[in-house]
Amino acid sequence: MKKIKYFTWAIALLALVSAAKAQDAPLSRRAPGVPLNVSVFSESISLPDFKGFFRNPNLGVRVGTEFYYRNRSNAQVFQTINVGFYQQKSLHNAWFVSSEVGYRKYIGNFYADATIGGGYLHLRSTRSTYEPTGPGEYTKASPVRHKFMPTLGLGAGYRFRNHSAIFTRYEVFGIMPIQQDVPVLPHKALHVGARLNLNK
Amino acid sequence: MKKITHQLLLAALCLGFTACEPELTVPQTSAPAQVDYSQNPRHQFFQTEIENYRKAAGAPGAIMLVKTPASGLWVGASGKSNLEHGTAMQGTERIRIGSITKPMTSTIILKLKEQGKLSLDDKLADWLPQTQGNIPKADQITLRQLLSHTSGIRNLGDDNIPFKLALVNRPANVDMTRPDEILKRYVYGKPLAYEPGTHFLYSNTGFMLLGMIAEKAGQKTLKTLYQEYIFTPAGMSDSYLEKRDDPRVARSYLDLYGDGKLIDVGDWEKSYDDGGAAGGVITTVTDLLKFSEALFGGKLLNEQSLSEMKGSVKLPTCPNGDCEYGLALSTWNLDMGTGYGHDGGVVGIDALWLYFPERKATIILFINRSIPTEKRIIERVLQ
Repeated sequence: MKKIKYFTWAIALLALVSAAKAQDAPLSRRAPGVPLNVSVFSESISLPDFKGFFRNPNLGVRVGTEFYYRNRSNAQVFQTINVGFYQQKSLHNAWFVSSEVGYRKYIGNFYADATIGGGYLHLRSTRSTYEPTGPGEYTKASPVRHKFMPTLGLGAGYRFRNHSAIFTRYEVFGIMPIQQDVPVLPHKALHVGARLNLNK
Repeated sequence: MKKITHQLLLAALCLGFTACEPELTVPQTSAPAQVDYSQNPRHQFFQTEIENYRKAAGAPGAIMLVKTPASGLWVGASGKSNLEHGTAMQGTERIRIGSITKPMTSTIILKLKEQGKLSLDDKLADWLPQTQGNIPKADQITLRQLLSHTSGIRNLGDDNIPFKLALVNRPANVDMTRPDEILKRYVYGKPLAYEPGTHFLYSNTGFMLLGMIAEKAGQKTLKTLYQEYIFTPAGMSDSYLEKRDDPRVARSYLDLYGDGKLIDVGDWEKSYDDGGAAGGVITTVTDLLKFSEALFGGKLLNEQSLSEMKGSVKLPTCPNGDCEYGLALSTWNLDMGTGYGHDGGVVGIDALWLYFPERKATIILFINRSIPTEKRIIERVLQ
């Protein structure tokens, strides 16, 4: 099972690289097509920092698109819509649908962007879950929980001539609500991905 | 291009299905049958009390041990030791006792002191030179201050958010049996909470350091020291300090999401706490009684050491020594008398051990859920 998992992750990464490379065609003067953002990421439950992304990582994948409120050659104001999955080995598997608004600034072919948003998290606990049926009495329960997922992201990338791009993105997101005295369970994620244009 | 995009989407979909971490399997808990205590004159009363105690805490299972001159020994249980398999709690399960480990670590330090291998006024940096420059005032903090939680070194468990998150993220990364690693990651470079010796602040970190010092002074592993200084002389044949796949250990439960639902966290506790000097002992309630009787019966320490252990520290905030904590021994001043012992909690358990010398009475309480409990049961059952 583990081998299949790593093989699938490798295929995903290869597909990303080859797709971005294939899009590096001669300069297009047309407007960008519908962008498809695909990224793989390493996730941890943590306060924001840059430690521990590569040691026995919790992996995830995110696929999404974006549309533009302002789209100039040197700056964009955009909104993303994403779906994704990650596994938090000690706790749960998670599927999410999220949306972010963001600002992207280009300097030549390089860019940096910042996003803020939120989404729905569908958590499936990897641990047996039990719900109370009376004082001190429990029965096995569905391992699924529904949570809100606030997100903040900072990214940097390189745009090819036909508007496709490769990028890396640092994201902080949360799971809420958690405990009464703990407003949010913070996570960090480091993404590597590509933006492709579907109608190219 | 379309082909590549489709491949990509397919790969992403595959990931969603194949990369799922499967639900962890929970092994059955098996413990020997309990001795029949139904002939004890207070059996029904004790059984009702432990039932009510468990239900009030919303805990899956509970164990109580009571020993008084009037009613003799009684051990009883209520609820489940393992929710996955619906296993009834017997009272003979091995249990994690969390910080009740601390009086045992303290006993080892005091025994090493009796043997002249260390002094309670030795400085932290003298025994662990690696702490010099990494823990403020390591050259002033004494072993006595570490034992009495007055060193000012912050607690890993309560005050250190990165540590707590790391515990949820990957418990094996905060393994208390690898104290050097934990110190480097979460303790070194942090300021003290106060000047050493001026206040009380409960600190698991201090006991992690004491475990390292015991190993150095005793020239043996902590596990061996426990065996030689505690388990063997006290006759605790069902106890150990190490990580084991032990089906006799009662499962532990936590309401992580605050929605009343419990998750099984036995493997978290094993990864994180088992084997550590601050809370890693696994035992049974009857073995814990043996420790209590050996300690207060003078089998483990001499009278002077025991007196030091019981004697409450004197601080500017309690100059008369009424801080109710000695060298890893709590003092409980109740209407029925003064008791000595310790409480313990890990991620998914709550435990208490108290001995009342004037009444020669002992009570041990355990539930397999981490939640504050109502302790008036002590006076009711020991009256």
